[in-house]
Amino acid sequence: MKAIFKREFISLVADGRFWIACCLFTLLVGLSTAISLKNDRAMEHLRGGAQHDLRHEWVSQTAKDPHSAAHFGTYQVKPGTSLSWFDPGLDPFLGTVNFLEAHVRSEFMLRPARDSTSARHLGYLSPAFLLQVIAPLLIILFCFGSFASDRESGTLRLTLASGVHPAALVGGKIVGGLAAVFALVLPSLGVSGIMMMRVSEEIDLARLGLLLLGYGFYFAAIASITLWVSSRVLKSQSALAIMISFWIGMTFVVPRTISDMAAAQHPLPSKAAFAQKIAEETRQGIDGHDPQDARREELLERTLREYGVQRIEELPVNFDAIALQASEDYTSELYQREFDRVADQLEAQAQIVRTTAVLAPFLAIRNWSMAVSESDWAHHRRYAQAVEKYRQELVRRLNTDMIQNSRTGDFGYVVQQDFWESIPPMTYEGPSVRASIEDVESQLGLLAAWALLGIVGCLRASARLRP
Amino acid sequence: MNVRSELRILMRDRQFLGIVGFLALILAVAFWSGHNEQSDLRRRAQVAQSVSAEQVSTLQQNLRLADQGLGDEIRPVPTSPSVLAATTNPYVLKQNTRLALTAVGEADVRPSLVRLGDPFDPTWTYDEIVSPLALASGRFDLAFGVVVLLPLLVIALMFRLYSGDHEAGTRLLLESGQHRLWKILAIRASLKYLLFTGSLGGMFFLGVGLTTGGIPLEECLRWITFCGTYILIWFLICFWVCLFRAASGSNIAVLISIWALLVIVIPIGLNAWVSNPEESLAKLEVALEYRGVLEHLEATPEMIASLEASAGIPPGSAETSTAAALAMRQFAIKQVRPQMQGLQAQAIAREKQLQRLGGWNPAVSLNALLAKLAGRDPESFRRFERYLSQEHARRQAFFLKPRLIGARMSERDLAEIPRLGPQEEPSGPAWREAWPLGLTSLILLGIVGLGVRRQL
Repeated sequence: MKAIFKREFISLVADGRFWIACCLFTLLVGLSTAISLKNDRAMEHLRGGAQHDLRHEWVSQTAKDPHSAAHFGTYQVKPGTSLSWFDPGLDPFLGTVNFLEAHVRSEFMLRPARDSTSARHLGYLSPAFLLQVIAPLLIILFCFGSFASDRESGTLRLTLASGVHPAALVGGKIVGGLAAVFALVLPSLGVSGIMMMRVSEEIDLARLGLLLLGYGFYFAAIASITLWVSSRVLKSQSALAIMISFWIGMTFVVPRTISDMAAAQHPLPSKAAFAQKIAEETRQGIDGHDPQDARREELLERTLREYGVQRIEELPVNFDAIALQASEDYTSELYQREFDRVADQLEAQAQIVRTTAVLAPFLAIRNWSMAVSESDWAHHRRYAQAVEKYRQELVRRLNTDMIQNSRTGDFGYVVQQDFWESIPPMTYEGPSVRASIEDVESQLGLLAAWALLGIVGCLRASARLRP
Repeated sequence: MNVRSELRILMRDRQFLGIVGFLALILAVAFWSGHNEQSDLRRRAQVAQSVSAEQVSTLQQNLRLADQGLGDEIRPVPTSPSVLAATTNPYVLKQNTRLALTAVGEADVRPSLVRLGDPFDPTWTYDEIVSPLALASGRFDLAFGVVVLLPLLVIALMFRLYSGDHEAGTRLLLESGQHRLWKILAIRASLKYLLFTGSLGGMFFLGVGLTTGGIPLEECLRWITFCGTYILIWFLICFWVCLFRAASGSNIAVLISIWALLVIVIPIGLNAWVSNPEESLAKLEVALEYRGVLEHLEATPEMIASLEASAGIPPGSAETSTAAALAMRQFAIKQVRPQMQGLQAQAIAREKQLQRLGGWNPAVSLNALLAKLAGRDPESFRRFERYLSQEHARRQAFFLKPRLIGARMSERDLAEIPRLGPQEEPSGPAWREAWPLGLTSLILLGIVGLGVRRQL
């Protein structure tokens, strides 16, 4: 088996085309890493600048009443993650900025995909894209002839006639093929890693390890399936045709068809219907700006009872601000429910994509890679919830100041700069590695299962190996 | 000449028939996906129109009550110009060509259904709720099927053109015949090309007829001509590669590598080269500047006078606080207009740069042509944005005077609100815009001719 492994490995590696492919692939990954890291650094710089400008805008706003400040609002810029340069995932299609204001929960806006060209339909250049799409093609092109070419040239007959056990032959070819595959992609990963270490201040080894594990299984799956197909068909061109069809199916056809089907299965509401529902349900609740609202009267009665007074003028607090906060609590709950409904539909779509990864290892590695790189839907949802929590706290704090420090009808109450400064900016701690991969652990299992399927298939084929 | 016999062989060839079957499958999935997308858009437009109609009807009832002097007793009736403006803001559906379902183009990231915003807020934006998962995977539209998948079918049709006979041992038999080998191969390739393109054309007409209920002949002919030229380019590439190689496996490997380079690596590389992800945050900077100007600005009498003049009312007749707020907004937007125009110019330059750098690549070129043919190219979206701005300005002009003088609006005013003007219909690409495709096919034809001569 050792001799077979050596022969297989050397015959693949000694081929001039292997080195050309290896060099070109390393160059491509290197270039994409350089472009992605450059863009990532530039974005990080801009994000830092924008956050600084936003803070400056907030603390230097003119003297005004706190609720006007809540309407003036502020923006929140979504922070980057340590590996978003490697796999941007859904980030180009999700907004980068959120506007925080009273009464309204906004959606994220300014999607980077809008600032690209029509060529984006084929994908975004990133190291992850090359490893997910181009590396499997190279693996197929190098491994498809492993058994079939030997069969065509008669080498297989000679090898078997010389007394080599079929299982040892298959085992040697699997190990040799996998070693050659890793020799093909490792230089590119090395180049990428070195470039990353030169620019990154801190390296998340746990996430890198998980990425390597996932991609290791993925490459092993593609290589072993190619070897399996090669061992089963009579002609090398048939092996190539089958594997190329498999590659096209898993990278282009299945993802697009599945996402179309998932969107049809769990449709999202139209913006008009969404806005109408929010408007209708808001009307049913307390409108803090409407003194004739029946619910406001009920709130007033409760407040008067609480403070033991008869008239609104006797209240030691600002009832207008209490009504505003009550309205805020109601609309926040309403927005939470409606945004959750949309998010649940998206989660259901993502679940369909995760389930159908059983059909295509590409989907499994894409889901795994996005989750580890924190550029998937789950991470965005977590961040969006943190932003909403901050918005609610911000508005509550502004309204509370008004409640405590002014009286009903006191429209001249204003606060100064020291108050704006007392409100801290939002801080966000990303999820732990464990939490990041919570939803996609099955995807790693699927990748391992695909690799195992290929290897077991090859070994079973050894029993029926015919020259 | 053995054209008939070759045709007979081809019509019985299971591989050829299987590939034509695949072509039908790709087109069926693409038409299904396009039809779904269009139905979803129509559904959203219908919902939007009914929501809008309901809001206007409620407003109409309230205004009627107010006109009869009953409103205040039941509930406060909104009669201010800003409430009227906000309630009657119409939804606008972008007009596409009749081949809209054949290419998504820019429609995946830019809204085709937009509600006009507050006429007095120049910074309004509108985005539909979209699935990022679907956007990341991309749509299986017809443009994707043709640009990405059809070349693979051409490769599958052509990779054994010469090597097939070589491997089967019939090459010598062919060469010993009365016709020269290259002529036989050229006839085979031409027949395959004609039958394949003919099948594509027939299926396309059928698909368009079934899904749109009619066939826009001129647009369909353009579509078939562009795609036919693209397919010709791939047949020529395959013919040239297969002419020099006698091993089918080697042919596939070389052709797939060329395909991956032309269709995947170069377009996404160009996209990365030309795109500027920093632009999204540059837009935020413009917004911050606008807010900054507005926050620290005091309205001057000159600013208010200019606003009154533009509304056609005598000086000093506007409500001071409203006029001051509107004048300040107008001033602030003027301040940031150069930056906004700069960002728009960057977006236009980006697409032009892509075509300049990648126009020679048939995949990039055809992708742009098909998006244009569907009326969903970047230029058509820019025209749509310009149209929205014009409509926004018309509504602003209508509501400005009553807003400034604080007029109470009545049911009668509803009928006078300007209706939406007609949208310019996207025309699709002109024939001359397809010159890079035509030129590439001519150059390849020359190269193939030289290759054949060298082989002889």
